[in-house]
Amino acid sequence: MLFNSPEFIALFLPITLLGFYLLGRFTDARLFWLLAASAVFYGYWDVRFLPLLAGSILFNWLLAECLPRYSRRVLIVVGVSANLLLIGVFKYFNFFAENIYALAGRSFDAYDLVLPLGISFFTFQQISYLVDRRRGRAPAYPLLRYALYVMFFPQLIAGPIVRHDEIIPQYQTSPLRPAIFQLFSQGVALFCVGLLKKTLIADRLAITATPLFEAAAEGTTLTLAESWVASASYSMQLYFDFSGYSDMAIGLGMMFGLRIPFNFDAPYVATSIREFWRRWHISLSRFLRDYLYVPMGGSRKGRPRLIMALMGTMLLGGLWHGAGWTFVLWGALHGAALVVNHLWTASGRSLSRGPAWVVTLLFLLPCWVIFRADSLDTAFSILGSMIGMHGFSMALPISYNWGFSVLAFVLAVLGPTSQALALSLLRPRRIWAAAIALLLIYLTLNLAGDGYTEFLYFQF
Amino acid sequence: MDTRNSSTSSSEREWRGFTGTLISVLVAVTGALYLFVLVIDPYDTVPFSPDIERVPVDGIQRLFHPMLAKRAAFDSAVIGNSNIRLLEPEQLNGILGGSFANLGMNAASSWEQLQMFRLFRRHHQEIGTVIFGLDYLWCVAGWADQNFVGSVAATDFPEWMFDDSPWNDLPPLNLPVLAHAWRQMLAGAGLSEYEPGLDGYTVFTKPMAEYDLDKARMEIYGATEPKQKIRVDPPVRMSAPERAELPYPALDRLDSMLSELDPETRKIVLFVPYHRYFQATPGSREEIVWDECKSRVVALASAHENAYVLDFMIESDITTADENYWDVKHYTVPIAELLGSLIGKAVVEGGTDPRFVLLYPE
Repeated sequence: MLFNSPEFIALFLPITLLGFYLLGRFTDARLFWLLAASAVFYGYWDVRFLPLLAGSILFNWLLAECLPRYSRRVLIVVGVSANLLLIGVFKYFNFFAENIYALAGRSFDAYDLVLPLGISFFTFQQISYLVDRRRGRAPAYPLLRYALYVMFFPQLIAGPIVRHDEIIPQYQTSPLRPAIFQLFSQGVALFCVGLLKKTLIADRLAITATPLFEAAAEGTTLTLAESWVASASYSMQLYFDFSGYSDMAIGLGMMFGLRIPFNFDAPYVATSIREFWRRWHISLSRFLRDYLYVPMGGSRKGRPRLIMALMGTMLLGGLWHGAGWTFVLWGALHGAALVVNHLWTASGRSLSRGPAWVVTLLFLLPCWVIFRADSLDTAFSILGSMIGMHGFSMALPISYNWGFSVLAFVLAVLGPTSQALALSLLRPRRIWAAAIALLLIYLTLNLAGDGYTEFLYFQF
Repeated sequence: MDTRNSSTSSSEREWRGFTGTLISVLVAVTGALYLFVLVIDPYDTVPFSPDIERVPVDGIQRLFHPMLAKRAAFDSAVIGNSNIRLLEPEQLNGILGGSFANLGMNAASSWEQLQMFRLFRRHHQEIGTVIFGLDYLWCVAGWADQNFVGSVAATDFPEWMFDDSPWNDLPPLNLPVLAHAWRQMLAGAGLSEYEPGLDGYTVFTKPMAEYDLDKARMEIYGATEPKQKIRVDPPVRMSAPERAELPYPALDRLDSMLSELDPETRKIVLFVPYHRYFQATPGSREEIVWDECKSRVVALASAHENAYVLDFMIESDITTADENYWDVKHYTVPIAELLGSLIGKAVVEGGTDPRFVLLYPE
């Protein structure tokens, strides 16, 4: 079930909210209700994956229970390895097997493995809990609360990746409190903003970006103008799609009286790649920093170690997005850019904000081409077009809508963030409440008639 | 009183009011919109809607022809896709008798046509005549296997309008349905600009005044000059056992339809007049596939009383004249009128004509 599907908005969500608030006085009952709803939400896609998710939760919970009783590292190694093995089998087995066979000069028939939705997200959350538990920074939680921490439907499929100590303590707080009206209303507003970003902006940008990338994948050489339009459109599409999804997830959490950390903070205003990663997919950046970059040495053990930690973190971060060389290259480029950024800053040099913003954007756009392309060949073809290797034609698709692209770009760069719109700027005026309700009705009826598309980050 | 507490409670009151308004507007507006759809009942499916006449208000036959298929005013029907949509019920009424509805749907698969037929059948005890228009969707395996062609996906075919269940007869609430309800209301008030075909007949081609032979030839040949089909030489041969193995999955659906009609009902199965350039190339395997398909249809029809099989998919004055066509599949309105009269000539008068072959009864 998708957040942007009519059955979710018109059926699943109202029923789940109603049950949750009716059971509001009874903590375990309302948490169990949320857990059951989350199971329905997840099982709606493919019920076969429910036992896998339940098994993963039970395994990690039992392991976390045992961890403090054993001083040896073996248990945590087993725990993390088991989680990585699970994700490795479903997500990376074909990729590694294909490459190993290729090295041996043989071909490999890929297994038809269906990737369980959200596996990258729920596995990472559980690893973080195990590691924190091992470090003595996490208490033992009752199974119900731990299971809900992993399965809570707003963030189960594509994050934000939430730390246990950010969400589980909130479960105790009754939703039937005076402040819930503000939280609930702002949650609905944030959900609306996210839905609007997804349906009215991201999906329209996809109409431009997708055919261009598909044409390039089929061997068509894009013109100079087409390649830049493809790159810019996809960059904006991905931002509005994923940040829209995150807004909806966070808004849903707020409707249930729970605060989920924000995931985006106007990333395209960044004037350096370091700043970009503080603004883009914040929950993943934080995870990579705390559980990869810092354990690898971070910035405290000298420059060589810093370079190794940055490169290692970003390579794995790239691979986390998908099993393919495009993601590896994308991660490597971002790692290299972060290294350069660190060295530049350490040298005491600086660039004024305008040029720094342009340089950052000129780095990000080609990187998104690599991220989006179905293969390195396609990526290099488009990148070649972007630097004029295939001519300087400014020909564009006839249906291309300049005005909309510019509007999307201006919104991404100059517009208020979703959190500013829904939290800071929204005042408790009834006229706004009515406007938000009408917007939600319009967006839902529009989806019900025209159909809806998946979120891009569901594939990761 | 503590001013801070007072301010906090004031803010809380405001947010409480905000939430109340939000939920109230959501529930009230959604409810009002759906009530509007249920009362106007744009597709004439709601059992308890006011008893007012509804008409097709859009050219989406899958949504608007079901209401016609259920109407007692019609006792005869035309089933098919766009190849048959120009057969005019009024002309057929005069020639064949009865009261026809043209229930053709653009690019309808054989499965979709079966659904339309069954809906018509369920709502009519005594049926006068049913005309079935057959084309490649019936005779070419692969196409014939499909449930959805023109509608592309299950979500685009409103199965809920065609099934037996009384529990799903309420229309969904979405923007297109609201738009159709709005248009239905305008039509009821006499303010609609759309001219509905109240018996399912609408001229979907451009006016003949806009006909351009060069354009038509571009559609037919991909060029403004006519081309000839080159006979396959030596001709492809197929043994009788091989022909018997050819699959025609859609013909089971035709058999079902013929079987579900009473013996008294006149059943006219006709192969539509594709332009000759689009028909099977002489001597080709495709020609054998079509011949075999026609033989199988004759075999099916011969098992039923009052059945006729008419073949217009032949080389004739109709199919070889480019000016009779907009493209390879779609003939002009004058040709549709001619087809109507030729059907009458074959079925009512028992006459012959070089522009058709009466395959059954011989």
